[in-house]
Amino acid sequence: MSEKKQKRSFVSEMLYNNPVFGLYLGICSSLAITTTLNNAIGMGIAVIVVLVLSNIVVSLLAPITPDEIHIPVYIVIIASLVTIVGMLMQAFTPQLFSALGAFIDLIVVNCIILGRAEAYASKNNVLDSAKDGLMMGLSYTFSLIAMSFIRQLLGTGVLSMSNPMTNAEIFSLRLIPEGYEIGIFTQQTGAFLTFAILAAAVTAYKNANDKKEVAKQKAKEAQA
Amino acid sequence: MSLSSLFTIFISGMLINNIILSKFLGICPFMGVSTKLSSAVGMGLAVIFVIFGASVFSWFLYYYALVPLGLEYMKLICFILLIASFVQFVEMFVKKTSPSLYKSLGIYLPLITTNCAVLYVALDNITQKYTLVETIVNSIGVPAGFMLMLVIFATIRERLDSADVPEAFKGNPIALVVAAIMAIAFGAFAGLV
Amino acid sequence: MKILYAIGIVLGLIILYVIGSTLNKKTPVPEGCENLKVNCDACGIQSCMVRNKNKGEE
Repeated sequence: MSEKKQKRSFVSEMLYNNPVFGLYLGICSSLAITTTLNNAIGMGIAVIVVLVLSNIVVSLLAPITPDEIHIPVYIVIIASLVTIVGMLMQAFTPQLFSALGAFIDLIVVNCIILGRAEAYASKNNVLDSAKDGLMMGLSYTFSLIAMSFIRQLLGTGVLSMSNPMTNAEIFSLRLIPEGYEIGIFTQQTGAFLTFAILAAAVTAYKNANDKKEVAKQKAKEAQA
Repeated sequence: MSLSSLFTIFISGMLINNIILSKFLGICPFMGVSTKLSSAVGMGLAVIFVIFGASVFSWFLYYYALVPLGLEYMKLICFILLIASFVQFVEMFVKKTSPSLYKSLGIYLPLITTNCAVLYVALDNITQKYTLVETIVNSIGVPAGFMLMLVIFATIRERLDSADVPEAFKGNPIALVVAAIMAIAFGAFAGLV
Repeated sequence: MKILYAIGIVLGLIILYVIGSTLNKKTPVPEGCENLKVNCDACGIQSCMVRNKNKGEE
């Protein structure tokens, strides 16, 4: 079984264990802030930083934390990290900070982070935990980018990115002519719809893949 | 602070800025528990109680402890700890006093600690600079909107279970499509206030 | 001086949580409620604590 898992490509691994579309973790923030690519990448980076650091700290502290207080200790660690990241963003990328609004603070209750701290970081060593945090954070960011790509492109017709420090534009491409964009994709409805379709696509991919593997196994058995 | 402004806060918290449809918060329990009407009501009541209590306590903690000491930046850490302990106390209290209440609400209480809606309302009361009365009104209005959505959604979900949905859309994806359509419907409330 | 207050408040809240959770654990579950289960089959969140608890008991 483990051999088969290793054979999977990076992309399919990303789809199978995707925290957002596969496991439905951290849906709240992924629906709310994916209106533009900038917001998605900013949020993704914030989550990666918090996730990696919290995994590192938790895996260091886990052996010396008494069992009764491990949840409040993890909460304090995560909340402190989020506060620090929020302050840094407020200072260096004020526009991004105001666009993301309360959702920076709400990283604290993002199920991915506490979930990983409990399920992985508290039982593994520092290096593995950091790697796990990075992988989880990357696939979370990847999902955010996929969603915001669709929503920004269909909703405004323009794909653009700017440097969050200076607000200088990096690139801006109009791919859909003016008047043909679907404005509803920038609103709440578009968020739910995009998410539903992407989640269904991931499920369909998984189902098809599983069927293929079953068929392959059957063919092998028939040969033997 | 007139009565009408309080009413505005209540309606906008419940319908216009509905926490699920326009803020996308509390979606995890929304999708998980909303298959049965009875559990939707139980969960809704538990959320109203916890959000109300946690927000009022957070308000006092913020204005009577953190502000005088100049520790406003600690609000995130303090609020999340306060919410977690509040839920523990509520669970214990319900266990002791009313077994029948525990039967209907008890199982939902641990689910609520990590519900982002609770933390959001507590923080929002501070960002909006609400007074105590406004805080109370807001922290009843917002979860009331949450419960309204849970109940509406539970009834739709009961029908969905027997519907012929494409394989890949079964479960959560189709629920999200329904939520998308409801978001359009709730968009009509935007002009209410 | 300020930082001492900050540490004090956080420690106080942690102690509050620990008191709450130990008292909560000590309080027996009322009769007839021992095997309550959340009806959350509709949700696909595989890492959810509640879901795993339900699965484990089965």
